[in-house]
Amino acid sequence: MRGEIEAWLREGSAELGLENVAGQPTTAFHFALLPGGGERWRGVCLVWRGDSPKPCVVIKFARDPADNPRISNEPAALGALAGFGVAGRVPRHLRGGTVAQRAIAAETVVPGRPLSVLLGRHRRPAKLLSALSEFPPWMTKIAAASSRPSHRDEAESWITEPLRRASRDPALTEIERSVLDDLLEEAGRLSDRAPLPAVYTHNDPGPPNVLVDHRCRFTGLVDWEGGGWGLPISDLMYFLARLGEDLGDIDLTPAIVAGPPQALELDYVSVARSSLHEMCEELGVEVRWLPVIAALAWLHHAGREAARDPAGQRERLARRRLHRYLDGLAQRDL
Amino acid sequence: MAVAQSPAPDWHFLLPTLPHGSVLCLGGAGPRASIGPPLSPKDGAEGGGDPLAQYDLVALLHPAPRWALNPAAAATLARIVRPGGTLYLEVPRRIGRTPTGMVRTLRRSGFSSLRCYWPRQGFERPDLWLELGHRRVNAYYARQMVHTGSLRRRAVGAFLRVAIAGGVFEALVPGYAVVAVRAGDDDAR
Repeated sequence: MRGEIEAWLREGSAELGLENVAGQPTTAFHFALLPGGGERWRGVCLVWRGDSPKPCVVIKFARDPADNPRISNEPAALGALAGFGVAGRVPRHLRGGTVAQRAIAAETVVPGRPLSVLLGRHRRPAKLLSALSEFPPWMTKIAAASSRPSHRDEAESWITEPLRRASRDPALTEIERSVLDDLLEEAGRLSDRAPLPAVYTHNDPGPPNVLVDHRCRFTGLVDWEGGGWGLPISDLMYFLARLGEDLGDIDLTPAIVAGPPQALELDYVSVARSSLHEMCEELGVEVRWLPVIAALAWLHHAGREAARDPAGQRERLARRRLHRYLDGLAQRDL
Repeated sequence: MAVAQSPAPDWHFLLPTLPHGSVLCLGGAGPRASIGPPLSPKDGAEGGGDPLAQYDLVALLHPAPRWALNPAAAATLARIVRPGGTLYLEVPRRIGRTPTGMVRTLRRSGFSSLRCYWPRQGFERPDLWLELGHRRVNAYYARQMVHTGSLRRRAVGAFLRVAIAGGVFEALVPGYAVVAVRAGDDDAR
């Protein structure tokens, strides 16, 4: 398929910015293929123009001829983001099409390397989070730029229905079910008093998708295939929880349920709590929503993983995270 | 004629075109060898099979250690790949030569458009296929993936950068895959 991809690149070389100085299509490409996992496999190719030191285009393609939402959703998400003033830190969709009956899409390369490459080697998590200090305000900027009142059916499908469905899960213990019922009750009260707005969300901003420079400063967020309208703060919550896990199993629950941050707190949980509270303040979201949003972040994540790879390992992992979070809340006697 | 089955293994996407026509797949098992049934070496032209048979794609998945990938074997491969057909060859370094040496051998046997890829994490579960033989591409990999961390890791990064700059990175990979196209009869002449 590589030859067919190269032909597709040459055919759209003007659109893709792959012409050489003489205005002729580039004739030599180099490839690095990153195979994806799960049922909805998606190949990612980094493409170098013959003379460039860095890859110039990212190609994403489906393994099978069947429709693959991981390819087809992303251009729309990247198009929507263009209106929120985040250019340069997210890819720009360049070209879509079909090669060998498979969906294919090309986008620009965002500078930086995945944050996940650095994890496990940082002994000072709070310092890492400080280096990433630009990330939460950047996410807040997208949320603020896209914020709009949520419709009644959105609130039902994003908040009430997932919590109600989860509380019927036979895998829950009695204590976990009781915590979930409390969250549902709290969500009902808050929805009347301080309803959540709808914002544009990434839905999978884990460390592999967050790009950083050599000093660990945030440079971009990629893989917007799951992008769409959703709950505010859920992206930041998910990112902080995943980062805490990867850094050494740091439980984020105290940051979610404790009061406002105190001055000069420097541990990971405190820095995370500051970020969450600042985002709440910026978006005008009642902080009592945080425990509910955290549960919903894991529930929605598990749902997306189930859609991508039914009964796959990642879905089970997301469910485990939810159980752990509910147990943590129970211990704190929410 | 073997029929491609879904899902296609990762290495299919490194080929110039996805497999079609007649296919001979030697070695390997499981989803990686999902083009038709895996055949034993005896089923090929070297064994009791049709010595005149030629295939559009010949894939050797992780050949057994006793296979010698020498010029004679390369000539055999050239005989069983149809002109214009494709060869996919997985070479664990413990049995084969360096990518440069392998490319030279295959080129002499009538193959062209040769490309080598390093499957990081091995052939079974690669998370990256990195094209070898291009310093810019390999240097980018080293910069992106091995650039910080412990003293040992930094030392590995520095060593890799030197190896890439010196053109010996390919000789260090524990295994690689070669994709080659058999030149047409006209080209061969």
